[in-house]
Amino acid sequence: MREALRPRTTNEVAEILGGASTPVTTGYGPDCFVPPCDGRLHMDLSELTGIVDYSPKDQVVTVRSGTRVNHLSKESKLDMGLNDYVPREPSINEVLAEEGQCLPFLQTPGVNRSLEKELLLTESHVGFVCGYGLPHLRENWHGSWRDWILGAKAVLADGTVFKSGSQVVKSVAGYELHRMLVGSCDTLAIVVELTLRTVPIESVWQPAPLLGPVTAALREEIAIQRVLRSDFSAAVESVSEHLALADPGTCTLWVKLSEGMELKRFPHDWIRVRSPFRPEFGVDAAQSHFMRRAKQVFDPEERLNLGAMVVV
Amino acid sequence: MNASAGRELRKLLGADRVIEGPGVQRAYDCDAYSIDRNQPDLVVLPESTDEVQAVVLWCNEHQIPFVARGAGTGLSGGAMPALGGVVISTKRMTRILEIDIQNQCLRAQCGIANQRITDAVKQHGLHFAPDPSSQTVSTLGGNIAENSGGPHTLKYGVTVQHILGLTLVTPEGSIAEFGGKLSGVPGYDFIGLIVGSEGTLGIVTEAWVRLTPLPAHVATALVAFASVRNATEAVSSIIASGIVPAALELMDRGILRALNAAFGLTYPEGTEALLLVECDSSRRGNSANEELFRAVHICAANGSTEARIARDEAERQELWRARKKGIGAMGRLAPTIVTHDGVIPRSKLPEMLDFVYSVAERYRIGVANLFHAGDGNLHPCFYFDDRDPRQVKAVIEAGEEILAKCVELGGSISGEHGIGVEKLDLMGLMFSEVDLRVQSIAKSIFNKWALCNPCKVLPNQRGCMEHQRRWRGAAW
Repeated sequence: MREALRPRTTNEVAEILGGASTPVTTGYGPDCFVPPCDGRLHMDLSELTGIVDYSPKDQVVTVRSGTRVNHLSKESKLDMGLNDYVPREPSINEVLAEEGQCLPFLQTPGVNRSLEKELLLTESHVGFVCGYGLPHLRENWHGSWRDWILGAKAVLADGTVFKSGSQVVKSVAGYELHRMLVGSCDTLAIVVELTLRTVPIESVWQPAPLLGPVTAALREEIAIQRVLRSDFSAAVESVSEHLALADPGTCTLWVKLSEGMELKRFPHDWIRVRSPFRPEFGVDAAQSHFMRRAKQVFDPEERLNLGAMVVV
Repeated sequence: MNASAGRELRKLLGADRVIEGPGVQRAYDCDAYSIDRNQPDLVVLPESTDEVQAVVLWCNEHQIPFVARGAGTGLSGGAMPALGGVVISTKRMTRILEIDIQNQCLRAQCGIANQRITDAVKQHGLHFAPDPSSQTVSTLGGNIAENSGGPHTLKYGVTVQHILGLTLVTPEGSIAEFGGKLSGVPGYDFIGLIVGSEGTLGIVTEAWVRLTPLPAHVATALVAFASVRNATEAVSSIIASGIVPAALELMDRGILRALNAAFGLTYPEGTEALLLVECDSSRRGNSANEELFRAVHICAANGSTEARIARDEAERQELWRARKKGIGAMGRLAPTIVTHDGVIPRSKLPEMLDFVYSVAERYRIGVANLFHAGDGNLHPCFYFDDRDPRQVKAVIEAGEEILAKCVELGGSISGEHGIGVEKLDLMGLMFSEVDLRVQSIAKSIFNKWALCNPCKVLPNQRGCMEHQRRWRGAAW
């Protein structure tokens, strides 16, 4: 694997981008929007960590993008060659828990840790989870990253640092492009800081997902399909033994794709396919026109995470 | 604008759907923010997405500016035709196109009044959650443009959280659909960008909205305090305690005085502030009552003098009366009311309210406060006589001082009214030139030219500076 640059501050990210003569890929340790490859500079943002500001009374927290949302499970630590005594930065939810709060993006009792880690990114860095904007199991009750994000600091391809949004729970000042950065896989700008609203732990809803037969995951392709409530049972039935997880709240299914397998389509549904190595998004034609335009105006030289969002 | 414009547009839409003349121009020269005004050349009343497209294409062909307008209840001049041209009114686009109860969503044209959406589905135990005070008249399209809030935003979120899909006539006149019946559609979140963009990224003509189950239990209390500071401290404590009320609204003595004068409502002697607390729950076991009890208890610990708890729906409506009639009642205090809109971190409420009173005193203008305390969203209402230019000037300057303080305390210059033209000059308080430049990049994804609702949201747009003086003509 090529050597990665590991910036620790926003300024270092800006300097790297400003000085780079090649396209850039980004990621957080092993989690990459686009994996490192020849001819591109890879930036590993997993050391851009820490809580910048936390006001429990206001239920607002600002974090650097390399901070983990939840703490690592024992298995993950073993995987990474860490043990319990290795000093490390606390995760966001560990810090919030001291004040009785959390981001409602938590591990779910009764769900296999490694499955959650692979499918829902529960142990990943906040910049990666938010950059993907994938569904999660409490979405029906608590919304998701686009609903929690109040503001962001990010860096354009030319090294320009900007901020969007605010630090308060309600604001309609200016264009809310921080919301558009959620789920954009750092293809428009590299997100380095996020301001998020927190919720009291006591108000967090405990989900009851359906667990499919697929348990051991999952260096394979995973499809996420969301269907209408009226089609949920039929959709679960149609994937039968390939089902890993399904959330009846948002009617979302996580399905292990085997070679040549095609998912049954339902009216109004959408599908996202991701694998640990090559994320792909199924985007419809109308949307893709404006995605291209967004890419053109934000990153005219096409330098950021090319290929992270496939546009038809 | 060409004299034949009216004729050409009539040919496109039909004779009764283009209105013009001095009376029309006067009626459409501002929205509910009346300090800045500018007259349109004419007003069109399309009935469908295709007709909106036809008008936008015509405007592009003739390089005429255009702006969409719903009910005209906007409070920052978002629907004001800053450079004249065509006002595209959605008054006739009020149809509900599809109701899907099972999947809890509804598709409607954007001229529909917010309240009508709820009226159409409440028999099924559902509602459209965003509830701006103007909801009986303000339109879905206007709510989308401004990303409107309301008292129940605290628990249910603002408009953007309730829009699943939308149909947009782009500034260049093409039709684009985003999202649909389901949330989370792959790709960039353009809905997140378009909602709240104040009609500058195109004209939203139809939308899929999320329908939310009505709460099974609602518990409401009106709590009196002998000082505003006690009330604001109670708000901070309630939020900090982990309770998530459905609404947490504060009214100060100025509002109580107006309510007494207008409707004869009375409150315990010595009351300086009222806090309306509402908790709700959807599940069995009625946690609403329990939460309300805890909130009222916190109020008592912060020195409340009385708490009235509604025993039934009629009493609940009675308690809400003070909140809902507050602004209307202010008409009794002075000929003109200007409602400001700023946000501060909720923990800073006590400090901020003290500041608002001191500013009003310094400028010698009357102020009353009625606002979404739970969100930290202030609405200082200045009452004055707009026939006196000195008072108008004082109100504007006092408002700007208050918003500057909001930013200083880590807040925002607008919580739900938007920037429009009203707050263009204040954007620099919150955002650096670089931040604003990046926002203009985001705008250019959809709006590269200056025809679609020009001169809004971003300051210093080309071709807008010289006009700005003209809009302000009335005030200065």
